[in-house]
Amino acid sequence: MRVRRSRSGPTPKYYGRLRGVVGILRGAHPRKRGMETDLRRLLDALPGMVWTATPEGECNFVNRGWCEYTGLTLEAARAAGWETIFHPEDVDAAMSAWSSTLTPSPPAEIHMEARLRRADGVYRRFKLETRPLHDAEGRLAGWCGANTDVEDRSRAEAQLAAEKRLLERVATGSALKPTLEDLCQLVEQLSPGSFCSILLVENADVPRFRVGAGPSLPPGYNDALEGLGIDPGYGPCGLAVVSRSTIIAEDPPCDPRWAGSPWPQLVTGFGLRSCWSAPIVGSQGDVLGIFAIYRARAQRPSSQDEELVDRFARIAGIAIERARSDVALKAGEANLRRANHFLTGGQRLSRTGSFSLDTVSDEQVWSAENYRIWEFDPAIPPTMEMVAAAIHPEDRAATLAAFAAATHAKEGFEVSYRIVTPKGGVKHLNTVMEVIPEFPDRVVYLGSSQDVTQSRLAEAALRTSEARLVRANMYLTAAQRLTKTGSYSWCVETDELDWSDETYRIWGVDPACKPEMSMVLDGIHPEDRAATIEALDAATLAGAGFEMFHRIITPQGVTKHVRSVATRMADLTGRSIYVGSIQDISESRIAEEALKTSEARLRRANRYLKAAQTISRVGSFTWDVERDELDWSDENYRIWDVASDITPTTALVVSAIHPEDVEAVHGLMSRARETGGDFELVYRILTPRGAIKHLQTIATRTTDFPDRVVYIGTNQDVTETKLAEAALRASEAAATRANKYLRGAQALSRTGSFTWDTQTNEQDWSAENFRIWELDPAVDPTIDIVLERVHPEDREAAAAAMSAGRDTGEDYEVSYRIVTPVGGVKYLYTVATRAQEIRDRVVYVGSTQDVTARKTAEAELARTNAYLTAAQRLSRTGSYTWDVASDQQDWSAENFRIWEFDPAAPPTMPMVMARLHPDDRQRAGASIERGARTGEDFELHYRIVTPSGGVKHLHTVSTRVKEITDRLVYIGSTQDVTESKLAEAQLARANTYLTAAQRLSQTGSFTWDVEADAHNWSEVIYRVFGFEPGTSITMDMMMRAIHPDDLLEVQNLLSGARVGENFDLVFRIVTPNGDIRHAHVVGHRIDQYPDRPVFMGALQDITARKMAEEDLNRARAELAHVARAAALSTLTASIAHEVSQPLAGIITNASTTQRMLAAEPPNLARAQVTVQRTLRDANRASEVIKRLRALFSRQLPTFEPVDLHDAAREVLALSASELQRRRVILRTRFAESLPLVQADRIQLQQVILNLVLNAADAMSDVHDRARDLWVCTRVGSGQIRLDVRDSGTGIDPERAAQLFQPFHTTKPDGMGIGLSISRSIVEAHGGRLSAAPNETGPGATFSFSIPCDATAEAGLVSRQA
Amino acid sequence: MAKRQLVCVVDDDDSVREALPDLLASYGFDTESFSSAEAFLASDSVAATRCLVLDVAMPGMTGPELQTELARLQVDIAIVFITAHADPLIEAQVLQHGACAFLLKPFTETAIVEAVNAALARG
Repeated sequence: MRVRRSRSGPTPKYYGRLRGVVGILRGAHPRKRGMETDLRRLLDALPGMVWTATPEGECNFVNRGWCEYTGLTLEAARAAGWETIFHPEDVDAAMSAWSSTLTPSPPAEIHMEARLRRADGVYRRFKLETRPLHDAEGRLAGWCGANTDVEDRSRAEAQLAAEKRLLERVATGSALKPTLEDLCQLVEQLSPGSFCSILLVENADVPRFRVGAGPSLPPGYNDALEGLGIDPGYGPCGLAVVSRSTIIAEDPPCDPRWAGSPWPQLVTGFGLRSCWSAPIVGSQGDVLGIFAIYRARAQRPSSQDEELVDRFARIAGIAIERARSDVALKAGEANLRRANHFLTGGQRLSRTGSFSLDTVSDEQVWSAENYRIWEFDPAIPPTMEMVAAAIHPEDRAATLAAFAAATHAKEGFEVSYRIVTPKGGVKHLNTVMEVIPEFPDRVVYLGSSQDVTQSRLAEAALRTSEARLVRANMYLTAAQRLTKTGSYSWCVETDELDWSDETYRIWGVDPACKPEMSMVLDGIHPEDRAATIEALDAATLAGAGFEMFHRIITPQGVTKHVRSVATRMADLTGRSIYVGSIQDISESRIAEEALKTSEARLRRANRYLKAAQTISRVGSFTWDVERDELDWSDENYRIWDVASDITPTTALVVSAIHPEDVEAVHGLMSRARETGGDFELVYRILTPRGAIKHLQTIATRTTDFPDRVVYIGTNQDVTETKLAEAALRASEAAATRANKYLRGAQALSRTGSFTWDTQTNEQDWSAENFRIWELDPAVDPTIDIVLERVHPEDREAAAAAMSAGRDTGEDYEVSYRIVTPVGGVKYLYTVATRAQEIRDRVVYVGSTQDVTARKTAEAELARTNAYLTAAQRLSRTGSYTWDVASDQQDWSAENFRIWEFDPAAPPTMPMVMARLHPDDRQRAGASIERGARTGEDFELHYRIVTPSGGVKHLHTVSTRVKEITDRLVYIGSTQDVTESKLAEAQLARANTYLTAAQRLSQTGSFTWDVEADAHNWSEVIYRVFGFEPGTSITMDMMMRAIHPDDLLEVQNLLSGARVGENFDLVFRIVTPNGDIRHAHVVGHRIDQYPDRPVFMGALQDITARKMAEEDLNRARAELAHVARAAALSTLTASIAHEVSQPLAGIITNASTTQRMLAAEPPNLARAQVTVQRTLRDANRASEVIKRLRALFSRQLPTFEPVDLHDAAREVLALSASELQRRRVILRTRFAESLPLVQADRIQLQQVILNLVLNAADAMSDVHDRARDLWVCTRVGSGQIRLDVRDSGTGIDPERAAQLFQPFHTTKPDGMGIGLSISRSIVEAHGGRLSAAPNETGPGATFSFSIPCDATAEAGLVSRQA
Repeated sequence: MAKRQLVCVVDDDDSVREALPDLLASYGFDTESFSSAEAFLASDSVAATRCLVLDVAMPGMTGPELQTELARLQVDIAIVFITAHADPLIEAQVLQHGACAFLLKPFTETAIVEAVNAALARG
């Protein structure tokens, strides 16, 4: 709609010009008359109406505009009077204005508005400007007026005012009807003579009119229009709706458009004629209603009318739309309230909360349910911070990131996450958020949160059960395949069969075939057919299930043993259906065979174990809990002291348990039955012979039987082990001693052996030891008893040596004296060496030698020398003179002491005779008598019995005093030789022991005169060589008997012996009948022959020990190989990685080479480079294979110089990928250079591998720090050492010792023998393996050290190994 | 192939890292090789790279971590993973994150060339 701007009034310039013109007109100046015509033309050309009048008011000029508007000439206007062109209502105002302007002097200007009649009779509103004109003298010369048409402007102003009023009403939300009525009245005012009507379109099934307003129309007419169907043929209003355009019905009765309609008659019946109908078009383009103006006369609308209609139709549209939207709003509000009501209920039911969130202000508005879901206090306004804190930590980052991203993108989003409620519950929420478009400047979300915990849980449960079902199916299929069990169904009535895949396989029938009963019956082995059919018939007749074993022959001619089991069920139609399974059990027979084979293997392995068990006194057992079957190793029978033909039962076991331990064992067994968990227990048993034994049982469930609980375990006799160890050590010590003391047979006498446990102070003495110490064998020797017996002067030194030994564990030797209960003094020499087998505490094995004889001999020598110089100083030798005839005797003081006579009483021969030992009296008396009779010198050994009852051995030498010839006088000396006599007796006894010991220990003695090739052998040596005892031996014979491999060493010995070097050698002998014997020979040169080498020595047959050692070594090697293979198997993926890398290189390089060569021209230079790379990679791959081959090999240990660094690097290279996979960071700190060590390379690598893998395992649970693994080497004090340091869970120092026990494991899949084997390997190398928690930081360090400059030791080790 | 396209090989293992670029070069690709994910990220070639042949297990940043990092940097490079460890979990993970292929070492010439071509076609 156009907005017309009203024309502006005359400008000041316009009046200026006008004044000039009028002045000219008024001038009577004849000179100016000529100009008058021109001026009139000019005025005529002016727009608007201009007139002039005489000072009296008589109009003397009107311009053309005036005439055209009024349709009058100047003359006609003068005749009629100017007032006639004024609207009757405006005449009075005009007249009074005119007259009032004449009154003042000078006359004033007139400004007024008035309606002037146009030629066609229409009045229009004009602005009238009338000014007085003055001549040069200032006298009134006339009047001039300019009338400006302001009709349009004022109409527009009125319209605007009306529109404004209406719009205000609309805006304030006034009711529609009064607004529309108001609107009609305003239009009627603006357009006089009009009657307005507003009809509203009701969009019902049939669109119809409703009267919106028609305040000035006759009510009857309004009533007639109310509810009128909208019909374009009825009248202009209907047509306006349909055509959406303004319809002018100027004169309805004459209008052909309504010729057939009753409307013209209706409208004229109410005194109306014209009707202009304009559609009220809404903002969406829909027709809301009709705005119509009626007039009483037939009349076309002016352009102003049309504009008016347009404008007010539009305002009516706004009012109607506003009203409708108000209604809609109210309805919406009601709906919203209702919806809200339902929503709250719905939210609660669906656990859905809603909220709004202003992302800028963090203002959140939550529904009640939302509070309930989050379990927040509705009194506290929720914030993002609170929300974020409530989100499950695992979901927090992702959820907030999603939220931030959506906010950033100003997009809605949906997110699922978990929250942790203030009470600690976990809920699964699903939140959907949409951006509200109303806020362009910021992101405001409207969202809902649904608690989907229940459904999540249900989903999870569903998924789990589905997964279970799938798994179960999978297992079933796999199980069927594995167990060769097929399933089938068989309908008895129809003989319909349905087979599973496996059933087809069993019958050897193509799965495409439909199985038939005849096929089945034909397939049964002829020998089984009749019986099978009979059984089937019987079962079907009885309606029972069946189970039968029979053979079938497949179409391929294969005979199979099958087991068929079926149960009968009825289907929906009541038919008899058998559902069953058929199992091919021919394979299980093969499996049984395989089982037997593996059992045989197990038995073989058991034999190896047996050797180990016997040594360690460990029995093993298996216990099948379900079947309550026990299986014992031989050693176990020995431990329990049960005859090996008795089948062990748990009842038997329980009955043997010490009453105090029964409850614990019972509890343990029932726990084991229930849980299948591993167990370990120390308890006591009472053997059938009444002995109490302490047993340690360790059992672990074997994984070989997944369907039932079967334990495999070990029993260790703890008590017996200690005794056995002691016995072993004692026998070893005996052997050592025998060898050592054989160097001089003398030294072997008077040697007792003992063990001493420094921790418990327990001692174990040999019989000889008791004799030496003169202690009662029935009384346990203690340190106190021992020290008490030690000579006071030596006591401190002896105690110091022992306590030093106890503290340091170092071997010691000590010489000291003891005082026997009878006051005798003995010189003892004790050598103690620590028992290497016992690591946890210091236990000594030692020998104590009585060296009194030697000491005495030394003393005797000293005495002899002293005797020569001063006889009186002879200790313990008394001297005397004896005048035979007078029996006058003169004794030295010493003699009195020896005989224990009172020096005050002169001794007589009867006194002497009385003191002689009764057994010697006769013999000694006879000698003395003969001397007295003959005067011959005599020498006598005899015993005396002292007054205190002691026996003394005396040695008396008497010589006749040559100087006295007249009578017989003897001078002599008597020596107390008690001690040497005792020593002699002991020597004799010791010799007896030695002989027995030699026989027992298969030790023979020999002398050997090298130059003379003279050999003197004891019987044992003959037996060892397999020679006839007594045969004359030559070097040649001996050399022929030496094992060829040992010949070189024996020859070395010979050449050494020729120049008098002592020897000590282990070598092998091949006996004449082909047996191989191991001998240990020790030879010492005898000093008695300074001119030529003559050896005295011992040869021990160590064949049995060697064989046992070799068996043990074989078993150990076997076990080590198994452990190595187990360790390597964990590296499989790593190894595949190591090989795959170079292989990828090889293939790629080969492909590249091929392309280089195929190019035109061939690129030979590049091809060569790639071929070189191929070779390099191939070498790398083969290096890996080589290393592996070595590690997997099953060879016996070989000792050779080994570079520990090389060995370690190879192991680390093989495990690098595995370590990387386990996220272990490997670091090495190797010493700058390491000496070579004499070692078995593969075994050392096994130890390193074991330690590295253990370290990696120890760190598998480490997540909060780096998994650092250090491998370090260093060298020092003759040892090289390798440390493997992890940062894992560490070790309990108290359990460090246990780590190295066999079958001790902390790993669920470990064998528990890795460390035990590693330790035995390291010890076989003369080294030590130890473990300690890290001093700084978490984790543990495992270290081993091996002597590196021990070539000699290594040689010894290599012989033993 | 009108325009030569840059294929980068990232592998800590010498064998593959030295061999593969030559083979790919013989097929007309521009190639560069890096011994670690970090070295590749630090290079000027990231933007120009159209295809990445990437080892899974490497010390430091692993292949999948590099993939994640590139995604974070919004650098879209088609990735062909190569590995000497068969690991279905990692395979599923990297393929889900948009890797073009997952090849097990050793792979054939055809396999790697097809994988690189497919990767480039995708980009």
